[in-house]
Amino acid sequence: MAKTIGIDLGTTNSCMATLEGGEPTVIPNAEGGRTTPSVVAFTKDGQRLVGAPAKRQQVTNPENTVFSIKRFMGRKHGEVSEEMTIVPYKVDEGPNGDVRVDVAGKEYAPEEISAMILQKLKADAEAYLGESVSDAVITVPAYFNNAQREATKTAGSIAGLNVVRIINEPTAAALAYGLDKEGADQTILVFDLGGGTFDVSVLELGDGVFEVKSTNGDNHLGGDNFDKAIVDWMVAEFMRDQGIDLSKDPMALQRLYEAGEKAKIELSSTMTTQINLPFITATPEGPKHLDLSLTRAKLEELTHDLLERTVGPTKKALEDAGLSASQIEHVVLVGGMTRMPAVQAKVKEITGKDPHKGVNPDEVVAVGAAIQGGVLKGEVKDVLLLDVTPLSLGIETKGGVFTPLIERNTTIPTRKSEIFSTAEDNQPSVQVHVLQGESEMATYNKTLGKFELVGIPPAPRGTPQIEVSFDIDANGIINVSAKDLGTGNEQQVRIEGGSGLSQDEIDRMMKEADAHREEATRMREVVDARNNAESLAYQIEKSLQENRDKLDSSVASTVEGRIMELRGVLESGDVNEIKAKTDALQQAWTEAAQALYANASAQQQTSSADGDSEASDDEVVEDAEYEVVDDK
Amino acid sequence: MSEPQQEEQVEPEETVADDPLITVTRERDEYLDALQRLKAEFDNYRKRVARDQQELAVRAHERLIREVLPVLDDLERALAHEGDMEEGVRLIHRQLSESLAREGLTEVETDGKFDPHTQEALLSQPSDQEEGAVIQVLQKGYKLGDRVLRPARVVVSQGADG
Repeated sequence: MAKTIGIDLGTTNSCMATLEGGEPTVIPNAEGGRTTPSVVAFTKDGQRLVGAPAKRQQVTNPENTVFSIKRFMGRKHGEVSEEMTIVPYKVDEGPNGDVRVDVAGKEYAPEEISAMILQKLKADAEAYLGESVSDAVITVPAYFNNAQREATKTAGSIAGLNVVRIINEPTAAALAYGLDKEGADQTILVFDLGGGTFDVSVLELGDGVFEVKSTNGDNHLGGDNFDKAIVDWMVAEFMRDQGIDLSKDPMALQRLYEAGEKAKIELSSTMTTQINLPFITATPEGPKHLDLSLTRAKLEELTHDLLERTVGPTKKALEDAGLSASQIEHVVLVGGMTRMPAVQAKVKEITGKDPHKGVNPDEVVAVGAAIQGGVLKGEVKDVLLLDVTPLSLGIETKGGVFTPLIERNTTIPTRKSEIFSTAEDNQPSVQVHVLQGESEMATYNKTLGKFELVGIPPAPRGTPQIEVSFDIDANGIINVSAKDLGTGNEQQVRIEGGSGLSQDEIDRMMKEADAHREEATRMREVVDARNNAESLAYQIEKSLQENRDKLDSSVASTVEGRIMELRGVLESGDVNEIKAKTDALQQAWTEAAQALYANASAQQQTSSADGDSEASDDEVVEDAEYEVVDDK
Repeated sequence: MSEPQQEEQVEPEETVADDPLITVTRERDEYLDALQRLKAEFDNYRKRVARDQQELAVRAHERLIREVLPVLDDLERALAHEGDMEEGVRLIHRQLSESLAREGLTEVETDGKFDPHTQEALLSQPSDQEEGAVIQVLQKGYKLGDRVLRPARVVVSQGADG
């Protein structure tokens, strides 16, 4: 089945995504970028460049490098007089008063230029996915009129795409957060601060359809303005300190822009950042370095006016929608600039709501478009919307340890089995204690069920193989079975509603696991040390018995003494003590084993039997063993 | 969960065992279960791959950082040292370049004509060189494998009469 791609055809950058196995994935372009500059250039030697290469040659060829074509889509020449003066390429009037751009001696309709961008995206998507792509969902601003939407659709057709739907950018953003599944009559505010434009939209969801209640914005406000504010500040600081104007030096400016952007991003997570640009310029007296410290507070001061410019349009959009801020139920952020904490704080200040987070704001529109594409294709079937297990599921093993078989956030239905064994010689039964939770220790998790598997034939510990299987079906019903692979005996339990926990319950259990984390870790350490010590003592005792006749009685009794000492401290709960005695035993046995080998080779005997017993460990089975259930 | 699907209307027959509707319903449930399990397995596989990739990225950083640590040491030695350090810095530079080259880093070529695929024009100036030629490299560019990590920042000639 051919894939549908979702395309965010932006003013400065474009982005595309598709569904893979029902999950949206952003498709990187051929250069490896997750977004592609919406720039098309016609070089003097007749080449056509799209994306990053087009942008990189802009200064050598400004009159033939077309950017911001979106501002001209579907508009009449008479409507774009302001935009025309900003762009360095030539904008003419075509038939019917349409816009034509005049580049490289040829006239192109804006649709054709946009089609070139779409063509590149399509080709890169095909290369990435390894299959042909024909269907696309393309997004447009909510305020686009019919002519602008038609033009966008035409651009898609020229690029060889079957445009299955044109959807609004804010709608796509809301879809990316799954807000269409939140129930009817939701009101959503979408705050989109992109590279060069600011759009705010109020949406209302009714009957699964999003309706745009109002839109507002500022066509010339975006991340570029913020970057420039930082660069201007750096230039002014350097001028003050060194008396040199960096704004005339293109390389210095380039470095300032990059450093400014980096600082801006860093200040989203830290309170202060260092801007270091060694050898930024040179004077007859020697090289000059730029070394500035920028705090988040300073950044906010520098961009305060820009930030304030978002307030008016947002309030106006609310007013036009006939809503007060308190009536907004969801806030969605779009555009890289919305990562800035001050922007988020401003949005919260206006709406009183914490915005949705989690989807990359540069990609959220393309992701939503891809989801819409999947819906239209029928790819997103309800029966295939699968749940995840909210908490880990597993069993209790020796010493009260919780051994998870199915990790939390595993998509169900799923099945997992593991082989366990007995902890004692001749243990006739094992208890399977099924638990749910995130603590390492069973006692802090929730019991879902218990059962016993009886009738295990007498055997040394670690020998019986007991396969424990967890199977969760699509409805969250858990079947746990334990099977003695030796006898074929099987026992099982069915647990219903195990994953039917409310969010509150899940949160509470996660919090409890957190609260007991340190204690559980300490308990776990003790149990591990004890289990390890016990198993070592057991193995050495066994080997000792087998080889007693070949050993000096003094050596043997030393080992025996160490075993006794170790067993004496097992119940103390003192990890260091147990470990120390474990080491002491290990050392005594190593010496004994050396003597054993020395004897063996002296007697020219094959030592394979001893070698085996040295390595004798129940490697075939998991080291997690059952606690003793019924030792009698 | 069992959502009724379009089925041919089949009149129920007396013999329950051979009722095609029952057979088909059972088969449908089995197929749906198999499909759901496959989908869930794919989801879980994807989650595992994403986790593995994250770990891999961290390990890759580790390796690179370990490569670069000696350079940091040497720079600190240079700073602690008084007087002429040109030779020392030259050695440190060579050491760092070699470490990065081992990781697959190569310099972007800047001889000849401007290439927007690997270079970025920061300025366009008149010069006696042919139009479109690179006349100055302001910042070197680098490729990691086939991919342009950073384009070379260059000044491009506008030609003699530019």
